[in-house]
This record gives sequence, structure tokens and C-alpha cells, in this order.
Amino acid sequence: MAQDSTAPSLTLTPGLKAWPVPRWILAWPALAWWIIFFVLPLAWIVLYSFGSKPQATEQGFVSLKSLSLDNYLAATSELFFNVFLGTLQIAGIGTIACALIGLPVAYTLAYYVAPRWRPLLVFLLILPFWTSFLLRTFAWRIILAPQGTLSKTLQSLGILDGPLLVLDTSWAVQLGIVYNYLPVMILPIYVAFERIDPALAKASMDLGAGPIRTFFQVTLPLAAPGLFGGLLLTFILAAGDYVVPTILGGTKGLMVGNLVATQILSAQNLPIGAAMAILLILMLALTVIVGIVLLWAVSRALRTMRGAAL
Amino acid sequence: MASEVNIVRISKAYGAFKAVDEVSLRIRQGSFVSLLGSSGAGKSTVLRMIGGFELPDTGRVEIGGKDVTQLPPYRRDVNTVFQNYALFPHMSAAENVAYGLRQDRVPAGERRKRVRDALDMVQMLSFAHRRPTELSGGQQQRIALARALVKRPSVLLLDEPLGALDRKLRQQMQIELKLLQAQLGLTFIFVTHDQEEALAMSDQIAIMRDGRIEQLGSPTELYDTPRTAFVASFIGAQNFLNGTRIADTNRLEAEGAQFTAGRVAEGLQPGAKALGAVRPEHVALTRDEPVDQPNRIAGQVAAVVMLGDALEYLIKLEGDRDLISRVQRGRAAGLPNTGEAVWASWDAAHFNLYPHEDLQVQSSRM
Amino acid sequence: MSIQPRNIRRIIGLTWMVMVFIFLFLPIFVIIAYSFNGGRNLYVWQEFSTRWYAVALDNPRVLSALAVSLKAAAINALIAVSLGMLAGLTLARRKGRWLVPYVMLIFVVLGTPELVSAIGQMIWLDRLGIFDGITRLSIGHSVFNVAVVTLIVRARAEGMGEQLEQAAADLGAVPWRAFVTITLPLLFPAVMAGLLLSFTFSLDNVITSVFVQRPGTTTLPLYILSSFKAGLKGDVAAIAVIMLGVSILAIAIAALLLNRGARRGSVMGGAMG
Repeated sequence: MAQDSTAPSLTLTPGLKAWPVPRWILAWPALAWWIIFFVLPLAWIVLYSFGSKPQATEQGFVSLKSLSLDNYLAATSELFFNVFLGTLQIAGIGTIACALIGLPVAYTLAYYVAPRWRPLLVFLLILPFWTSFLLRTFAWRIILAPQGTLSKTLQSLGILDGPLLVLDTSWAVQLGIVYNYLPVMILPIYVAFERIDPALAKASMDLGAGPIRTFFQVTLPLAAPGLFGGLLLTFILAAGDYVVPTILGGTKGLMVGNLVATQILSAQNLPIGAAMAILLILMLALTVIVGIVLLWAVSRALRTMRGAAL
Repeated sequence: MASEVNIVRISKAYGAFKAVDEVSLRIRQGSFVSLLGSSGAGKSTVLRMIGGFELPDTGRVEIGGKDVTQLPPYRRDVNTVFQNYALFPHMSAAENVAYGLRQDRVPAGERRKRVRDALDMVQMLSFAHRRPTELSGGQQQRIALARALVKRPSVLLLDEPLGALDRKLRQQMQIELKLLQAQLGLTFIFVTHDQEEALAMSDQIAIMRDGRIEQLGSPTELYDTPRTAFVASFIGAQNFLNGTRIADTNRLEAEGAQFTAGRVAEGLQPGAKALGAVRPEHVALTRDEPVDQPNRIAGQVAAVVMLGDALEYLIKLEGDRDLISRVQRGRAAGLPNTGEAVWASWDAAHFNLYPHEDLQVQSSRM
Repeated sequence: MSIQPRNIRRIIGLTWMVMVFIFLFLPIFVIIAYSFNGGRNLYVWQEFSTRWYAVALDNPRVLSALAVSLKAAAINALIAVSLGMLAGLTLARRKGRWLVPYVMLIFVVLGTPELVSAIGQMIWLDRLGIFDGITRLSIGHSVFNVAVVTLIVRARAEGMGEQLEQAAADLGAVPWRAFVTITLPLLFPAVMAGLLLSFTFSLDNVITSVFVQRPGTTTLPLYILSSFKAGLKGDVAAIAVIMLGVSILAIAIAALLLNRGARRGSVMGGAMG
């Protein structure tokens, strides 16, 4: 039933029918909030990224006297470039690892777990993600500590020659990223699997495809949007992460997140920090676009490989 | 207490789609009128405009002589039984029924009494304290009915209320609703896509198609004298022969022969393409050619379907068309079996000619 | 018959799932366990003791950080719920051409790296001259949470359908009465869940707080972060566990509220998709 835009006002706006007021006016407060405290701040970042660090004699954090692309040039310096690449690498590997680990979990949850247990397990899945990010990342410092239990156990088992030296390296950051974003990857894939009509798999097998082929030819393609959403979301969140590299990375294993934070908070260089932040967004946007194009290309290729049906 | 409902040339369009196209209808007070049609015909939209949930683009709606077109639902003396019942899940059955009375500020004592009476009338008094989720479909339907009736509206609107019920329950509810309406003397406007249902319950049926009323009449009128091929095919079962009207006569040229009709629909031009309609129960079957019956055609029995009190013969004609004949089982002795040749014939009195239309099927079954 | 390939796959799948769940919960158990580590060095287990809890709860800086966190979280939750409920309802009941761009904005708000929006907020709040610590925190945290509440309320309102409100109008209820007696009670679980989630997100928030905070008003997560640089001790773990307990409780209640009365087959009442 099509939504009727001319129905007598039923809820929310009694009496307002007399005034020439837009129907969706009650959504304006939230909109105003976002415009003021989200859109405008972003605009300021863009503006500042073209500014420069104020001279000693000037006030404030940014001098807008001469706008230029200097910050962007500086931001693409070697140091920053390496950090960018490192971020892409860690976020990329992390996303793939999450997908490999998470897909079987999503599948199991959707197909091998009885329906009445699923809400509970989904809740347990989400719980670690929504409780303090900070705290759980901290716990990994305890687990990976050179003097900690794990380290001692591995040494006594002979697996390690010396203390566990993963902490404060990019490996620890990698582990932390995978750990923190696993639920983000699993949930959309699970939802996608769950939505698929069970009759479809049965039909596929009825027509002669075994379980493995059914999975790759029917189930996975149908779940593809969920998988894609999970990959995208995980990557975006991982690339912009600040907490994990700060806590688990020490001085090495830097990602864009804490590089930007350092520039802005420690080095007081707001313009460069702003430029880096914009570059981060551009990088993420670019990745999204590349991902979409890749997805489209892959699905086209698969279709042509399969050949025409008629 | 019951009111007359008068709809004058109402229209409603959603973008380019005309859901309702200049519909006018006068519903006498105290009568049971059905709006019948397939989905998309516009019948629910008309109902919603009477109820006040949609604003007509043109035209007006009058209830009891009063123009209510601009009034919101809560100011109209009309109540609705919704398709999915729309019972408030956070209230018990009794609280649901009491809701409307609360809005009218009926004093507590009288309110409780009326709620009890309403629940009793639909035989749901013992379920008064249950929540809707604890009730079956049929039970929810009764509560929805009680909730609407407790307010004693002058007009009751029912939007396919029996659609979700199984067949037996539906038939039972049809009888109950009919009795209730007669007993209360209210005006009932009933929307359905089930022609059997409409035939069983209504004083008048408005058959709708593409946003317009194709025919308005009593069940008998619609069954015996449908005005168009569409109405003929929609109500009851119908056989159609595809052919041409012979000049300006009442004869049809079809299947390589000529047939005589008792009635020619208005609007059928001389020599135009025409459809000849005859109901299966009027098609007689014989082994030998019935030479004194002008309307006859030869064929082969393709299948015989058992319907309980009758048998349905599917006759295959030349050129792959078919005809259906419905024969009471008492009269079926001696008739040809599947695969055998047979003659089908019918009286001109039961054969009507209509302008050609693109109906879904050539010969339509119920 | 249990050697069938399908059952083997099942067992492998379930085993893997259990292992992943253990992996996910391991740090939580570790932190809980080590919060009871009586030794001076957090990383080296010595003895069981609850002394760190006493130390933590005695620490005035901890208590003031806790107070700041709670206040900011509460204000932020109120903002999120009032703005979000209106927006969510409007999205469900007053559809039109404005809907698609509006929802796209919501997704941008949710999808932009928190880092970036935090920087922007810092700049903007400074320029606006808003220097009160708690106000800044509340505003900063609320932006994301308004979006979350909006989507939750919208999902619930869509799932509820307009029919009930129409039935109320049909029975004589004027719009505000229908809203109060029908819409609100049925939305209540979703609104409560939104409130709890907003509260929790704010309580646990790090990135926005790092940029937006003012000296003198530190939140609990930031206090933990700074003591990390000074060297971890047991009291930090103790605070962590307390915060964890509060978060878990709030989220559990929110999940229950969203699942109760939700459509079958939807996850979290449809709020998650």
C-alpha cells in the first residue's frame, strides 16, 4: 500500500494540518544536530587542511592567511606515506583474516545452530564488540606481556627461545585489529545467510548439485551483499582505528590514526593533522570505489564464464 | 441508527496510477454491500476513503447525508475491521474493545457493560483477558469485530476480514456476519476478492475493475445477467466461445458453426468480434448429436473431475479449445467416458453475447 | 550414521565457532582474572586479592573521572533519545523524497571514521566557544548515538506498521491520544534500548573523548589510557572490570528489550538489518 502523502494527519502533528508546515518537520532537530555538529566540523577540517601552522606571533591553532596545498604535500612525505601503506596493509590483512575466520562462524551460526539458540549467540557475539573496546585491547597487553603467563608457558614448552616479543610490534596491532573487528565481519554475513530461503539450497540439490557446489553457486552469491558489507565496514573501521595501535603498537606499528593524533595533540600541528585526516577519508573512499568496481567486475566475469543459458 | 453512504465521483491516483477513477455509489442504509474485485481493482482504496484514511483527489463522501470528505477518521461515525485485525498487542482483548469507548469518554460502568455485551455477542467473553498474541486468527477476528461494533457505528467497513481464515472457518464466519448484520440493522460495506463470499453475503455487489465499478446489482442479477464479459467471467464459472457477431443478429459465428444467443450485451457492434458465454451447468452432454438443438458442438471427453455433488466434464473441441460441463451426479449415467466422443449443447436462453475482451482465460473455471 | 559428511561439517563448524567465541571472550576473562591479582606487577600473577578494587574506588581521580563519564553519558543519552525518537518515527511514518538523502546522511554519520569527526568537533567546539568539558563530551558522543537511536526507532516503527495507529483513529482517538496510548507504549522497548546503547557507547568512548576533552574533565576510559602510559597496575584492571560489568548489564537489557516483540527472523528487532 503506497504511502499516502495527503492523508489527514493521523499522528504526531495534530492541528498542524492548518499550517503550511512540511510533513517531516519532526526530523529536523536531528538533522540540525548533524549539520551543526558533524557536517560543519568536517567542513572546518577541509578548510584547515589548506591553512598553515601559525607563526609564533599569531594566536590560535591555524593561520588561514595563505591557503595552500602545502600540508598535503608535507603529508605525502616519506614518513607519512609509509604509515599510510602500513595502515592499508594492516587493515587489509586484518579484513581478510576476519573474513576467513568469520565466514565459517557466520555459516555455522546460520545453518548448524538450532534457531532458538541463535539470538543468544548473536548477543554473545556482539557483546565483546560493544563493551569497552579500550579495555579489551588492554587485556591483550596482559596476554602478550613478555613476563606474562603465555610467554612463560610458550618458553617452557620450548616453542620460544626467549620472552614473547610480539607486543609493541605491528604483529600485535594486527592481532588487535582482527580481534576487535571480528564481530563486525561476522554479523552482516550471518544476517545475510539467515535471510536466504532454505528451499533454495534444497532446490539446488534436487537439481543435482552437491553441498559444496550449492554453497559456491547458490548460497554464497546470495549472501554476497552481506559479505561485501562486512568487508567494507571492517576495513573502514580498521583503517581509522586509533586505540589498537596506541595501546598495542608502542612506538612502532603506527597507523594513520595515532599519527594524526600525534600531529594534532602533541606536535600541535593542526593543519597537517587535518590534511592527513582528509587524506584518510579519500583513501577510504577510494578503497570503497575500487571494491565496488572489483565486485562488479568479478560478478561479470563469473557470468561470462558460465556462458549464456539460452 | 444505520446510515446511508453516498460516494460521489471519487478518484485517487498514486503518481501515474489511477487506483480509483470517478466512482459513484449510493449504499442504502441497513444494507450489506460488497466491493468485489481482484487485487489492484481499487476496492480497498474506496473503503479507505470512506473510512477517512485516504483523501480523495476529487469527489466527495457523504455519510448519513453529511459531507465527511475532509474529516479525519476519528470524527466519522464509521468503524473499520482491518484486514489483519490491527488489534493492539499491548492490551488485552477486553481493553481493545474498550478503547473506542474510552475515546468517547463513556462512563466506566456503562463502558464495562457494553464491552461485556460486545464480547458476548461474538462469543469471546471467556477470552476477555487474553492478549491478541494468545488468540487464534479466528478469535482475533471476532475481537476486531467486537471492537468495531461496540461503538454502534452507523456504518461498518470490513476490509477482507476473512482472508486469513481457513475455508471452513471462513464459511462459518460468513453466516455469522450476515446474521449479525441483519440483527443489528447496520450498514455493512465489505471488501473481498472472493466472489463466492460476495454472493453469499451481500444485498448488493459492486464489481470493480481498474478503479471503476463495472456493474452494481444483487447477487442474482450479477449471476444471471452480467453486463460484460468480465463480470460474466468473474462471477461463477463460465464458458466462452470466441467468434464474430453475425451482422446485427443475435447469432455468433464461432468454431466453424453458428450459435444463437438469448441476450446480446449493449455495446456489441454488428459484425464485431464477440464472446459467447454459457455456464457449465447449462451445458448438456449427449452421446448422439442433438439435432433439434441449434447450439451444439462436437468434442472429446478429456477429463472428468469429481466435485462431490456434481461431475465436471472437460470437453476438448477441435482446434484445442475446451468447454466445461457440470452435471449433477444423479444425471450422469450413460454419459461418455474419458477419451470418448461427445456432443455438448445448450439453450439459447442461457447463451449471452458480449463484446470481445482480453480475459485471462478463454474458458474460465471458478 | 554420524559419520556422514554433513555431520562432520557440522562438528567442524561448531568446534570452530566455539573456538572463535572463546577467542573473543578470552581478554574479558583475562582482565577479570588479573583484576584479582594481588601482586604489584600486573602482568605477573602472584596471589588472589581484591585489594585493587579498594584502591580503585578510593582514588579520587578515579571517582571524579567516573562522575564525568556518567554525567556526560546521561546527557548524551537524553539528547540521542529525544532527537532520535522523533527522527526515527518521522522516517517511518512520513515518507517522501526527503527520505533517501536523509538516510544517506545517517549512514555517512555512522560510517565516517570516528577519528575524523572527532577532530572536526574539536575545531568547531573551540570556534563556537563551548569550553565546558561535560558539554563538549555530551555533544561529541551524541552525534553518533542520535543516528543509532534513529535507526532503532525507525525499525521498530516500521515493524509495527501504521495499521494500529489507524485503528486507534478509527475508534475515535485524536492524533496525540493515539500517539500516547498506542505508539509510545509500543515504541518503548526500542526507545529504552536506544537509551541504554547510547549510554554505553558514551561511557566506553575513547577517540572522540581524546580530542574533545578539556583538562580537568577526564572520562574514565581516558584516565585508564593515561595510566597506561604511566605503567599498568591492578587498580586499572579493577576499574576496567567494573566498567565492563556496567556495560554488559546495559547491553544485555537493551538486547532483551529489542528482541521481545520483535519480528521473527529479524536480528535485534530489525535494528541490525
